[in-house]
This record gives sequence, structure tokens and C-alpha cells, in this order.
Amino acid sequence: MTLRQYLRRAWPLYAMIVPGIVFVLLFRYYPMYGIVIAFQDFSPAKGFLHSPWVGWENFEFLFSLPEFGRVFRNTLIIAVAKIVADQVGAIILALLLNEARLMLFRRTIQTMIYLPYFLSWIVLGGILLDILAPHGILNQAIASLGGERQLFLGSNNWFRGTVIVSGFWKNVGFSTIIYLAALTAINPVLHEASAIDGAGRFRRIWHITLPGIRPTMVLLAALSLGDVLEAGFEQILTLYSPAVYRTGDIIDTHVYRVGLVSAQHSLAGAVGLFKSFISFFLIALSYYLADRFAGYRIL
Amino acid sequence: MNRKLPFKTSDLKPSRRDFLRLSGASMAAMMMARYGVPPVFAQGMGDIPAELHPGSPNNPRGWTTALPPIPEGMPVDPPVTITGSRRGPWEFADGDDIENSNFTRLNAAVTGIIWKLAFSWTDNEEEVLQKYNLAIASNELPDFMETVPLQIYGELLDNDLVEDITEVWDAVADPVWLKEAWSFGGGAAWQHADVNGRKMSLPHTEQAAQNDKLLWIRQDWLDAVGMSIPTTIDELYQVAKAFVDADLGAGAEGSTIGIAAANNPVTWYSSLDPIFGAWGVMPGYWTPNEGGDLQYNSVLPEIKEVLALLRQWYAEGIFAQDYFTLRPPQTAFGQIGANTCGITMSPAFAALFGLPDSVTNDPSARWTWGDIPAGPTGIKKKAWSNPVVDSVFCFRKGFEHVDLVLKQIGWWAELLQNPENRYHGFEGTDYYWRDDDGEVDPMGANLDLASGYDGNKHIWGPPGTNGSALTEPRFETNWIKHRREVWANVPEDERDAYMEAFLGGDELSVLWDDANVFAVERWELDGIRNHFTTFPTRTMERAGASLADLEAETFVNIITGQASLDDFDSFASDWAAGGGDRITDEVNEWWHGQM
Repeated sequence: MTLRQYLRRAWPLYAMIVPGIVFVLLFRYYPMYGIVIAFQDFSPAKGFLHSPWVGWENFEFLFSLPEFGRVFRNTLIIAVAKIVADQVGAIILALLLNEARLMLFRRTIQTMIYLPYFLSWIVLGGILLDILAPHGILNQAIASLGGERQLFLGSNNWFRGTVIVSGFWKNVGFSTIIYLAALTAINPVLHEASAIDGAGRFRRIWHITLPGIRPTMVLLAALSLGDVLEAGFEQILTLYSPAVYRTGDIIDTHVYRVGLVSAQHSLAGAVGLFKSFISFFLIALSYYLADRFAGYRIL
Repeated sequence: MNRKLPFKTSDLKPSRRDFLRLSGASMAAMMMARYGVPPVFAQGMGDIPAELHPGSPNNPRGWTTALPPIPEGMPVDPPVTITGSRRGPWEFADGDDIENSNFTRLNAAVTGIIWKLAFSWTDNEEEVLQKYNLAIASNELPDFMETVPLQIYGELLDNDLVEDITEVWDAVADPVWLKEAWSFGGGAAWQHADVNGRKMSLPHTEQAAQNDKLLWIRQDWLDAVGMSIPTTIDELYQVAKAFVDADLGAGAEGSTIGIAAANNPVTWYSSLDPIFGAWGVMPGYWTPNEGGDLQYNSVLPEIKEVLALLRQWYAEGIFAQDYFTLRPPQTAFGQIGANTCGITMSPAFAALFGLPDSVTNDPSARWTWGDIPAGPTGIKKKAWSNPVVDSVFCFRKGFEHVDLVLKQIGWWAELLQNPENRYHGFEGTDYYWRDDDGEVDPMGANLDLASGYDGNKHIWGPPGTNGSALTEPRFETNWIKHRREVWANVPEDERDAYMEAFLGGDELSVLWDDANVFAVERWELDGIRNHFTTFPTRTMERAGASLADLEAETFVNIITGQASLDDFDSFASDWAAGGGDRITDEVNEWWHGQM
């Protein structure tokens, strides 16, 4: 088949791709030109073209902020813990739900754990503030069991844990659904065969279910590497207070406060670029890992 | 015939959400709506057709509104079209919109100005910046720019995009309702609008003493422990401790707290600023020292004394254990409203926001108020609430009709703010007459405020702006006094519907009036003013946020015992080394350049 023949046959397919490519160019690539403000002392009146250039000054300022090390560490710790908790929790929940026999029970639980995903952090923040208050339901329970009341949101010992657990509570339902979908793809014949061979429930999970979803596990874990600097801006902004800056302040919330003092567009641009830069490498790495261990490729 | 008007107090007080937006002019409009004015017949109507007139003179129980004299040379002929930006949200009767409403129709008849909307915003934090930045970037600034945030204003000034109005102002601004109204505090109103001696914009001002604190306290709890309203810090502690020990609050056992407090010690509701004030200092403020230089209060040794006291109080359960995780409205709903707390240092408007929830949840709750307590050396001070908002009204460079707009603003300022004018909005838009079935009945005797009544926010220019923009900061108090001194003397059978309904009022609204008048009386006397009133300095822009973090973190950890009291000393030296010294130099450079 010559190229000419091929094009004659395939041109409608290419034509259909065009709007998508135009969209991506227009709304994903063209705005990237705005990255220049990270290297400028940007002023909206002067625009991208006429704002003075300042080289690396915005980045130098960002890295020289006295708290930069602290917020970077907090961001990494919280984000990594969230990724791990989310993945492991989702797998366990998916396995448990998968073993449940009663469809009604399974559906109900699934809906319940999925529900918080749809609430905004502003709403959940208010709820958490009530639940975790010194005389809130959780502390009342602790006190009635003879324990000491804890300041879950106000103490540096607890804050990270509270953020990670509440983030897990909100998001785990969503990740679970992906695993449940992967579980349905496992051929039931394998389960039946091993049951006949005398394998118990745990044996079957270990030798059939888990290997069956391994590609999905590797893929999701690898792809979540790109989120390693996303510790959850809205969540922390809703829950934190100056008392827990030491353990709870992340890059996003810190820059948010720095930017509030005056409209530091360029600084915000520099932060965005810095995070994108790190994420870019991590995504490239995760793509390599996904290919290597799960055989996942785009091309 | 003495029919009671069918509205509940809850219809008249703003919703919680509204309250955050509401203040100044819109509150004032609500005041007017609540209290009305005595019957004075229309005057100075000139050629204004009756159907454009505010008030409801045709209703037997209604009132009339007097219009101020029409400014010289107005209405201009032919009419002039002017573009302007506006802050939303708004709601109009059928068929009306922001460019064509009772307000604009009356305004066109009086001034000859036709307003066109350039753009609008509702979110006054981010959206407003986007809209103005877009207008700047696309070089399409409106003729008149409403409530321009300071950072945009600075941008406009830097790029010479603002019209200098000095001469026009001197020539045409209303001598009473603009010039005199904005002369308070030795020119404090002009702190942003005046740039190097030239008037580059109009100030955005709010109600005087709006956030000045009073001591609000539960009278029934005082009775229960046999104590009276505390007048000193020490008595305050005794009373708070007694409330906690007697566990008078609602909710779980042992959950009573002494004094409501929020994450920031100096804030607008449930604040601790009078306690710092009792030592003559105010965290975050810049005040002149003996040598005449401005000094940053947060690092002064008096602050350490106050922190030591607050630390002790926290340990004894005077404050909620998690007080520092709460933001101000949460204290209003969560502590005051839930009746776990009997003392709050909050502004006069606490009687409308927070305390009503308390009374709703516990009808036996009786609140009262007193002056802020005095410190060990007899000092009695609080944070002075600056009525000057961090935004301005300005004109596009090259705009030719500044004089017309200034005349319009003067006319509306007088109409809306002079109690003698009896302005309360327009029938059918701001209020309705309804019969007992709720049908709109123009001749009925029953009055119903339209939902979301927010009065006079629908005309361009300071007194009509959404988000409050009075020119006379003592306006609200003038109203209360006028009502008490003038209406109270109107014989009962001559009172119109508004007066009858609102003379007197329920317990909390009477407390509000009293507290309001008192707070304004003490406004200039007891306030500690932040003397640094300009754009952030260069080092503030760079290091200010980190220093503020350091301060907030240190203070809260000292109070809650997560850090030692002596951490204050290292904070003070870290602050100085981390940019504080440089900021002090920059601030004083500005300060001495002022004089």
C-alpha cells in the first residue's frame, strides 16, 4: 500500500484527531508561554513582553526562604505517606469487598467509602473540626475509655497523622474502585480450579487475586509518583493553624501566605514551574517503571 | 388600630454569610429600614417625576423621602454616558438590571448621567484582581473604577493610568457630605487616596468603630456566681474562672470555657486585643515611641508579660483548648452560639451576630455589655478599627467628567446619609406592603422587607457601593441618636409604619444601639492606631510573610505551652535579624517622610 493509498483510506481518522490536537496546542501548550513570568518581575500593566527580566531571582528567593527546607520536608512526608496509605488501603479494601458474597452489602459499603470523595475540603474541614474538637465525639470516646484528650489539629504530634488519615478517608473510595474493576478481570476459572485443588481463601488471594492485579498495582503506584509534591493544598489550608506550621506547613500553603502580602505573580509562577519540573522527572521515571514492571506503554 | 408588623427579627438581621460582606452602608440601610424616620413631606423634588421618587408617600402608613437640592448645572443635557466597574452580587425586580433600576432612573433624572457596566465581580478576593488585571492588560479601563484593591491601585499609579482629581475635588466636592465627612482623624481617610499631596482617588470608608471591641458578658451567669461586670483585667480573670469552675455552659461536662478566643489574638470577633491594650501594646501594630520613631509592637517586652498571662489563663482552662484552630466566625457559632462561653470581646454588632444564636439555643441567656477592662496600671486600650478600607475609587487617566461623578456622589451621600431625608429605599424593590395572606398590597398596612434586602447598593459611587462605602463614618450612630431624640418625640398616632415597628425593638437590638453609640464615643479615645498605613515596604514584601509566620507560631506555642515563655526573647532577636531591623528602617523612612 503506498502512502497515497494509505492516506486516502485513513484521512478521516487524522481529521478526527485535529480538533484534539488544536485543543491541546491552544489550551495546554500556548499558555506555557506564561512560564516566562517566573523569570520576570511581572506586572500585569506591562505584560509578558515588557515586564523586567530578573533571571533566577524568584527561584533564589524561594529557596532562600528560611522555612523552605521545613515546608519541602513536610510536603514530601505528607504526600508520600498519603500515596502509600491510599494504595495499600485501596488494595486491602478492594480485596475485602471482592470476597464479600452479599451483593447488597458490597454495594452499600462501596458507596459509603466512596461518598466523602465528592465533598469539598471546606465541608469536610468543618466536620473534622467538630469531630476532632477537645469535646468532640472522638475525644469523648477516648475520655470515656479512660484516655487523655488530644488536640488532633493543634498539636505537632498529631497534625500530620490527622492530615494523612483524613486524606485517606476522603480519597480511598476512588482508588478502591479502580482495583475492584481490575479484580473483575480475573478469570473465575482460576479460582474454581484452585478451590478444587484445596486452596483456601487466603491461598487464593495470594496466588491468584494479587498476581492478577499486579500490573494495576504497579501502574497506579508508578503513576502516583507524579503527585509526590501534592500534599493537598485545600485540605491543609482548611485544617492547619500557626501552631502546627512546624509539621503541617507545605510548599503550597506557605507560598499562599507569602503571596498574600502582595500580589507576587512571579513568585507563584516560579513555584509552579519548580513543582512542574520535579513532577516532570518523576513522571518520566514512573513511565519507565510502569513499562519495566507492568508492561505499560503509550506507544 | 394597632397592628403588629409581621416580620420576625430574623428577617431583619442579615444571614451569617451576608454579615461578612455587610457592613457600613448596607448595614446603615438596614438600620434605616429598621427604624424609619418621622413624616416630613417631600421637598426639593424639582422636576423629578413622582414615580422615580423613593419612599412610599401614597401609602396611608407609608413615608416620604426628601431629596437633596439638585447639584448646580444638573441634570446635564445632553446626558453623558459613563462606564464603571461594580462589585456584585445584586438582585433586581423583574425587568430591571444594574444599568436600569430605580437607582439609575432617579440618578439619570437628577444628574443626567447614564451608567454603563464595564465589568463586575462578586468574589472580592481573587476575582476582583483578575478582572482589574484583565482590564489593565487589555487597556480597557472603565471611566470610574469601584473599590480598586490597593495592589491594583499601586499598579495603576506606577503606570500613570489614574486621573489626578485634586483641582476638580476642590472645586465641586460637596462641602458637608464629602469634604467634611472625610476629614476625620486628621486626614486619615486619605491615607491611600492622597499620593504625594495629590488626590488620585476617593477613599473607601466604613462605619466608625466598626470592629472596636466591647466586653460582652452573660448577665445570667454573673448573677449565678454573684459577681458584677469586670472592670479590670484581674476581675475579668476572676469572673471567667468562676464561670469555668461553676461549669455554667451547655454541652459536655467540663466543656465550659471562660473567654471566647480565635486563632489570631487581634481579630474582628472574639479578640484578645483589649488584653494587650491593657499593657498599652498591640501585636502587629506600628506605634510611635518616645523618640518619635515607629516601633513594631510585637517584639516589645510588654508583649511578653501579656503572653505570660495568657499562658497561665490557657493552662487554667479560661480559653478553649483548641481555640487557636478556630477562625473568628467559628467562635461566634461554636462558642458563643453553642453557649459554652459567657464572655467575648467583640464589636457592638455581636448583638446581631453570635449572640442571637446564643439566645435562640438557650432562651434564658441574657447578655449585657461593658467597657473593656483596664490593666494593672490603669491603661484601657483596644485595637482602633481603621474605617479606611484597603481599596479606593479612582478615575481613568484622561476621563473628562470627574466633576459630574463627584457631584453625583455628593448628592447620593447626602440623600442616603442625612437622617432628615428619611431615605429607606424604593417600594417594590427594597420593601413591599403586603396583606395578611402575603399578597403584595399597596394599600395594606403590613410591611415586608424583600428577601436579601441590602438597601442602597445599586448606584455607582461610594455611598451606594456593595460592601459598604459610607462617606460619613459616624453615620450609623447619627441614625440611632436621631431615632432616639427625634422619633421618640413623635406622638404615637402620628408615627408611620417604620417608626412604630422599630422604636424600641427587642432586647438585643437595644443593646446593639447602646453599644454602638458607646463604641463610637470611645472610638478616638481608646484606640491604639496602627500608624503604618501605606503599601508594604520592599523587605515586607520579601520577608514579611515569614516574619508573620514566626510571630504567629511563637505566640500560639507560648500561650498553649508547646514552647517556653523565654522563646519570646529568641523570637524578638530572630525577628530583628530576619528582616525586622531592615523593615523598621524602611517604615521609619516612610514615617519621617510623612511629616
